[in-house]
Amino acid sequence: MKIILTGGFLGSGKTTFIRHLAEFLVKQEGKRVVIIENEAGEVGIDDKLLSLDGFQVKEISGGCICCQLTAELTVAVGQIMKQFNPQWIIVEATGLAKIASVIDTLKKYGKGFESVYTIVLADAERWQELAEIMPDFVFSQVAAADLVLVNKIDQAPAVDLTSIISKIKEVNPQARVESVSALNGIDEKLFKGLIRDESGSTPTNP
Amino acid sequence: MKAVARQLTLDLQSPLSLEELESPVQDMMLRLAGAFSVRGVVPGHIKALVEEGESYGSFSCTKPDKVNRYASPQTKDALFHRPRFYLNIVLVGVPEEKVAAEADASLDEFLNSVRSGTGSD
Repeated sequence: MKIILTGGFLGSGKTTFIRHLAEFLVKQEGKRVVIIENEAGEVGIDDKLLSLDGFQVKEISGGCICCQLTAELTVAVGQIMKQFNPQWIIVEATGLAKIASVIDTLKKYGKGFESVYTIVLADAERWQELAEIMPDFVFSQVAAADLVLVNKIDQAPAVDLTSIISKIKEVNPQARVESVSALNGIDEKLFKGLIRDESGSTPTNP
Repeated sequence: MKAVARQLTLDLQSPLSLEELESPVQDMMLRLAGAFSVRGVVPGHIKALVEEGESYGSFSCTKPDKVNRYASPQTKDALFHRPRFYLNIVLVGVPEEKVAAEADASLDEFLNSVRSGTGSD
């Protein structure tokens, strides 16, 4: 069992991306997939959306898996493994999660999975403003990623995509950086590359 | 950082398509986005979901002038009679009480515009 951790600021397109990723893994690759949805509030929307699309979803709500709900995350991973034995777990962190802390929790306390691969979505449409309003937070999310997806490029024709990618590579030189429009669909090649990359990601101690 | 979330059933006086619901939902979200935008962006997210059976439309707003919509394929010709409605707002740097007050005012306006005799729960 492998874990894909998905992060990125609020409204950056994480759920839309996960919908495509899960669909690819389930329908194209024939894999068993469970999604863990971490919602900041008591009443979530993202978990309902993914459930309505027919995916197996486990909700963790009322706090963040990077701080208040670290135990709930590791317990949920263990329960999912026993109950569903999936080949993939996709974790959607809240948009305010410190991604490095979630990775740390999974690697220190999680059991039974082979690896964690981290994808962070960056919102091209708001990148400049968010990087000015909360630079430390935005850059820390990007810094923790194996793959950064600069999303909503269709909605941000006027932005300087090259400078956004350049800044991301400056913050995280190891990460692969791609630009996408998750709302309009994702090229299968990206998912195939992701699975290939994932095979080389940091193993944990099962 | 807590989310301000509301969920209720819309008891519509007459069935509405997603297209007919879209405009009042967007108006509500844009009002909220306009109230809390910083440097021309929403410092967080404003999301809404209308669902009944297999039909649903989801809405997301991160800019004060635009709402993105996604609908399930089953929604194309569907009419909503008593859909569930969810609103979820998370904003950085805005007091929760202020967001809640604006959310409730916007929600009242939305309910009036869809002429729903709903009760929240």
